[in-house]
Amino acid sequence: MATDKQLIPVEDLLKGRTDEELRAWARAYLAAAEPRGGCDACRFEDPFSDRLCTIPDISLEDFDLGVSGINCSRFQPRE
Amino acid sequence: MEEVRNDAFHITAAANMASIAGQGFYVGRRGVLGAGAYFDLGTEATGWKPARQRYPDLPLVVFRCEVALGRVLDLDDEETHARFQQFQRELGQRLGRDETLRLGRGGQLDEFLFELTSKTGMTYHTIKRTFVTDGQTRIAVRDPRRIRVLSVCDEKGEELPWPPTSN
Repeated sequence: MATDKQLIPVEDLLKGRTDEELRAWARAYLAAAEPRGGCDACRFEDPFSDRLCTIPDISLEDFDLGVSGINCSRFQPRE
Repeated sequence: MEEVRNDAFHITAAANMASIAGQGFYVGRRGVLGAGAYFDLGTEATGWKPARQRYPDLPLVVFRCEVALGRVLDLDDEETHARFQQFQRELGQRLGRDETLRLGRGGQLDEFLFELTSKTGMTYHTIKRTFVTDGQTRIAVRDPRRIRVLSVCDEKGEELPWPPTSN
């Protein structure tokens, strides 16, 4: 499998992008989203997506699949 | 040599069969692996529940597909995942915590891939991750031309004509 992991220059990825450019990108990205179904507790797009997660006590380090979705104790499927 | 998987399963509403036959799989869906057409590898078993939640009142079908993976961003690889987490932290510092959380992991991945492509010309065709929620390995395929339908079955396991016949 071609993963090319050694070629990912993470340190330089955001260089040259202003904070305002990044915020504009994020705003445009979120504006184009189409929320559907999911969880009323944390507003997931679906049980396997954390795109709209707003649980306030998740650290960025923990912001991964293990703290969200159907394993979340607050998961409430949206009718 | 490029890896090709012939055990990629995608469950969706039967009503979507015509558009898939005509236009290919929709790769604009934004999930936790960013935008792409989502497949479970190796088994269809774990795909039924989320599909049922997505389409609670519609009959479902399961596609078995062959996927030419191309260049894979493998988030099961520790080093790759650590690099993505490093990017997440940097993005969080630049965008702020709330905005970064709103983007979600999928949005952060899309931004990661966007920056990779624009800065290095490097394009990933497939994102791969084994979900801790259910232990299932999933892929998000970003180019529908890499997907070929092998078979389609209904919920009872009966094979359906492909491409679908129009009445």
